Formats: sequence, C-alpha cells, structure tokens
Amino acid sequence: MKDGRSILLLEDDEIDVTAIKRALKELNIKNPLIVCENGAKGLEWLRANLNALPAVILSDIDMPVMNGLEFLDKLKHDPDLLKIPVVILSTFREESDRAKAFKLGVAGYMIKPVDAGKYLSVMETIAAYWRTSELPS
Amino acid sequence: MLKDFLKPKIATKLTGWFLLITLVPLAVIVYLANDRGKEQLQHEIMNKLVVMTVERVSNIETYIRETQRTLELLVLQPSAIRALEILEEAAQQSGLKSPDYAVVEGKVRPGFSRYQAITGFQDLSFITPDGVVIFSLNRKQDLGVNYKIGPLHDSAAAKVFDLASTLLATEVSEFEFLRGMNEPEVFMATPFLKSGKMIGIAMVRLNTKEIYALASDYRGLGETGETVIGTKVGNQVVFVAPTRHDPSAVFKRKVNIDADPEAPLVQAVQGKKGQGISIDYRGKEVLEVWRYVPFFGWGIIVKVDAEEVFAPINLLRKNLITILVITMGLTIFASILISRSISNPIQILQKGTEIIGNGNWDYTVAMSSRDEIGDLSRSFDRMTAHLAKTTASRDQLNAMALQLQRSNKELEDFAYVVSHDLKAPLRGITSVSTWLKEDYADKFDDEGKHQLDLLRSRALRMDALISGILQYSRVGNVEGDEELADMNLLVKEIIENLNPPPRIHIAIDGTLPTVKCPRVRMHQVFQNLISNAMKFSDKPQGEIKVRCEEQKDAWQFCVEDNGTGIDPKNFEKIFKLFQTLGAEVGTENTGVGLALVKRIIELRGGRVWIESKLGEGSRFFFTWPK
Repeated sequence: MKDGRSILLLEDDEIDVTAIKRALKELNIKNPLIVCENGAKGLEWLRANLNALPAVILSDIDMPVMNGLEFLDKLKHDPDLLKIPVVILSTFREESDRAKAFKLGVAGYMIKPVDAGKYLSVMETIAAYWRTSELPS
Repeated sequence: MLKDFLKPKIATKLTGWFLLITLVPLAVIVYLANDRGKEQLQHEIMNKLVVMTVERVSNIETYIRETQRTLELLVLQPSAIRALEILEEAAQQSGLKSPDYAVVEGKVRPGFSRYQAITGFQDLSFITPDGVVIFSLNRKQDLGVNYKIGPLHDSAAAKVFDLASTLLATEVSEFEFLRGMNEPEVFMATPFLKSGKMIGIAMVRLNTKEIYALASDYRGLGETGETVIGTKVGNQVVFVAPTRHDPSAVFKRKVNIDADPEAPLVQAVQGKKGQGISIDYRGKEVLEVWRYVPFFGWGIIVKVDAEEVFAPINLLRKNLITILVITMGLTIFASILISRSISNPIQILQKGTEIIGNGNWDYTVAMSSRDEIGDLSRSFDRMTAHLAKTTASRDQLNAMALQLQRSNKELEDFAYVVSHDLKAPLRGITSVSTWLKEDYADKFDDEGKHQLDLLRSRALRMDALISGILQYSRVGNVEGDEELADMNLLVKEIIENLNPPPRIHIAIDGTLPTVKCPRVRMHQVFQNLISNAMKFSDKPQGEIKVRCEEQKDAWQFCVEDNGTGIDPKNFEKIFKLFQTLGAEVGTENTGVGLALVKRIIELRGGRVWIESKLGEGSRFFFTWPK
C-alpha cells in the first residue's frame, strides 16, 4: 500500500496464512502483516493500537469465538474503527453469504482459491485496488 | 320465507305442475259443463214450454168445441124445440109473469135442470129472435130482459146473441167482468133452427173456472212456472186469469200496448207467437213462450223462472267449483309432501357433502330409504370410506409436505456446512503441495515432482466432487422460483460464457420458446449439456445444435452434437452421480453434471434420455412440463 500502514489479517488456518504471506511477498508488498486468529483477538488488537490502525483488514469468515461477519458487525459499530475497509476472504461463495457481508458494510468479497497458487492473483487485485483507492487518513 | 318459497325448489316446481295438470282440465270441464249445460237446458225447457203452451191452447180449443157440440145437440132435440115453442107461446099469450107461463115453465124446467147437471153449464137461457129472454135456468131475474134494446144491450151476452142470430152459428163471447162480480163471465150462444128458420137462441154461461184450469195448468212447470192470460181492452192488455204468483191479478194487472209494444203479452194478443228469455211482471228473469188463443182473442204466456230452470246447472257448477277448490288443496298438500320426501334426503346429502368436504371423513349420510336417493346416499358413504382410506386428507398432505421441506432444508444445510468443512483441509493440501514443489524444487527429482502433482490433482478433484455434491443437493430447494425466461437469451448467454474454440460451432436451430422455469436451474441444465457436448467433440468441425419441439403438455428440448457418441449400454449409467465415461481422472469432470441435469428435470416432472450412435454423435433430449 501507499503508506507504511499495516495490514490486519484475521485467519485461523495456518496454510491460508502462509499462502497470503507468500503472495504478499511475491507482490513485494512490504507493509507489516498482523495476524489474529479470530475476530475477538482482532478487535482486541485494534483497540490496543488505535494510533496505528491498519490500512485494510483482510478477514476470513469461518473462525471460532467470533467469526468474520460478527467481527465486521462489531467493527462497523465502533466509531473509532468503522472507517477501516474490510475485505472478506472466504470459501463461502453463495449469494446469501455475500449479501450478508455487504449488508454489514464490507468493502470487498473475494473467494479463497482452492489452489493456493491462485492467491497471488487475488492479492494482486486487492493491492492494485488499494493502491488506486484513496483512503482517508 | 316467501322468497324461500319462490326459489325454484322442487316443491314449487312440483306444485306448479301438479296444479296445472289437475286444475286446467277441471276448469275447462267446469266452464264447458256450465256453458253447454245451460244452452242445452234452455233449449230443452223452451221446447217443453212450447209444447205445453200449444197443449193448453189446444185443450181450450177442445173444450170449446165440446161445449159447442153439446149445445148444438141440445138445440136439435125436438123436445127442446117443443119446449122453446110452448114457452114462447105462453110468454106471448099470457106474459112472462102469468101463471100460465109459470105452469109451462115448471113443466120444462126439470128437463133442462137435468141437462145442466150433466153438462156443467153455469146457466141456460133461451132468447127469442127479438132478443127477449124467455127462460133462464139460474137467473130468474133475467126473464124479460131484452138484449136488443135493454140496458144490457152492450153486454157480452147481448153481443154474442147478436152474433149468433146474425150468423146463425154458434158463437162465443168475450170474457166480461160485470156488475160487482168477483169473476168474469163468458157465454156461448146457438140458434134454434126449424125448417131453416131461426126461432130462438140458446145461451149458456160457460164455467170460467174450468177454462182457467185448462189454461193455468201448472203441471210440468215446476215451482215457479205459471201461465199468464191476457186480453185486449182498449189500448191495454188486461190479465183475465189469476196467476200463480198473483191470484188477484184478474182485470187488475195491465200492460200498456203503446208503452211496451214488444212485451210478449202484447205480441201474443196481436196474434204473434214467440219465445225467449226476458224479465216478467214480477221483475224476475224467466223463460217464456207466448201464443194467441183464438175464440177468446187471448194472449197466453207459459213461463218458468230462469232461476228454477238453471238451478241444476248452477248447482252442478257450484259443486264442480267446490271439487276444484278441494282438489287444489289436496294437490298442493300432496305435492308438498312428495317434494319434501325428495328434497329432504337431498338436503341431508348436501349437508353431508359439506361436512365431508371440510375434512370430516368419518361422517356418514346413510339413509334407510330403498329408492334411488337411498342408493345414492349409500354409494356416497362408500365413496367417502374409500377416499378416507386411499386419500391423504389435506392436513396430512400439508404435514407431509412440511416435513419434506424441512428434511430438504436440513439436508441442504448439512451438505452446505459439510462441504465447506471438507474443503478447507483440501485447500491446505493443494497449497502445501504447491509450495513444496516451489520451495524445494531442487530437492525433488522428476518423479518426486510428478508425485506432488498427483497429490495436488487429487485434492483438486476432491474439491470439485464436494462442489458437485453441494450443487446436487441444492437442486431440491425453493430458492429457484419460477419465472418466464426466454430460452434463446439463456442459451446465447451460456454459449458466450463457455466461449467455445473456433472449431466448435454452437447454434440454436430455429427458435426456442419462453418457458416458465427457475432460471438458475435451466441455466445449469443447458450449461451442463452443452459443455458436455463440447467435451466429447472429436471431429475437426464440431457442430452443436439446440432445438425445441412443442408438445401438448410440455416442451421437448434437444442438444445435438456430432461428437464421439455414446454406447447404448451406457445410456443409463452416465446419468448417475459421479459416473463418467472414459478416464477423466485428471480433468475437472466430476461426473456430477448429467446427474444434476437429470435431477433438475425429473424434479420438475420431465424426462431426460439419449439417442446416440457411436462415432457419429449424440442427441440429448429432455421434456419440460408446461
């Protein structure tokens, strides 16, 4: 991303985390990657780092304790946090899931590719979008 | 209540028809009987009256003639002539008051008294040609009266004397109401003839009562019948006999000829005869016959009250009307009863159908009657019992449908969740195997790399299979609501999406219809069929055609290709889930496609089948009910 702000990743699957890390590396995205294993931990971190909020949050849906949609909901009701764009990375590709997410104010919804190698194109797209998109500071 | 009655119910209809059938003929009969009967009766009675009148007139005639003969016989008797002569002689010589006369008179009197007793004359008198009464059997005071010049010269007796002496024939006088008498008198006079010369007149007073009796014979005239006899006096016709209804009418009741020239009595007296119905002197309607009576110059009417004449007819009519009314009452009563007996069971049946229709299968309408309605009710119950056994009631069906829906939903949710939980590890496997290959490329030889590839491909395949299962399970849900979709647009869309290579040409043959379907599902059907056709296209120029044929209840679609064709023994097999032909292990063909197509079509009530020849191509048909 443009500035040096971090990227928050909410994901509990180790392999998926690795896949994203590898993709970011390949795309030469140097922004620090924060990983939390579920929504609750994510919120915790955010609240603890209000002065260093991430530029974008990538979130899985299927997580224990607090899943992605619940996290999204909580985020968007928190005045300090709601401005942060959230992109859902999920296996759930059905219409109803997407509708739910967008109702909650998600900025993007990407399907996790079956093939880890394909993560690259997904991340590329996200990176490309956020390079172009003007985020509030 | 009245409105209820006026509805075209069985009772009303039946009553109406019964009344019509019974009353119309009856009414006609009553009318005819009355009408014809009256006519006939009138005719009959008139005839009778005519006969009676003629009879009476004839009787009077006969009476007069007999009287005439009797008198004429008298004057032919030598003894009578002799008596007259000696009387005349005595009267001339000694005078009517002399003892000589008295002696002669005494001698002849007994003989004439006997005569009178036999004949019934009221009086017998002899009159000289000069008009002097020289003998009177009952009226001694008349002796010496001169009819020609005396005070009685205007009387009926004088007139008849005059007539008889002039015409030298028997004459009858008018009826005369005289000098304080209660009854009129009538006379008959006959000349005594000796050697062709009139030597005196014999005069008798007739018995008016007998004459009346003849005329006023009420036999055969019922209770109200009577005769009216009148004679012309000046410009009036005067009643000369007592009538049944007015015994004191004699010479009291009159009819003015000028005032009422058409009156029957007036007509009769003038010699005209006739008959008819009119109003009599009492003001009552009568049937009457009138005739002229010669000798006396009378008019005679024989009449009978119309009321009495038509009494039997009127009675008959009254009776018939009574019968009519009673019949009407009975008919209404009977028809209501009968129609009740029909409509009541029908109503019971109808109520039964309502109760059963509302779901109560146990209700019975059985009626014990043995007629058609009873049969109907019993067969109705049999039907209900049969239905109860074989048909699920609506509630049961609803419950089952609900249950089915729930099961489907559960299955779907299950498949959904499972597929995602299964997919996650798979993703891990593919990812890691890819990374292994990338990161440790130098550590793996070709065989090792190949094996990693195999590992990857199997994981991918599993993912595809799971997706297939999920897709397959979803077909039953209601998510795909039906809408009208143009198949031309749909297929064109699919062709675009599939993006066939140049060597394969996909086209719509003719035009496809717009059908009612869940668009998503139809999309899946065509997508699978066409992509299948593409997969099995082996000719240099691949031709895939989509067409449709309209049938009575469904659309019949066909996807035709000129690919490899399919062995008939595989026709059933290839529709099975996960069943594929040939080695597509390395490909993404999970064998779900056709199974999905089959499920979608059959759930909708259609059929799917194949026609194919190995090496030449295949035609995939399916029907889509309208």
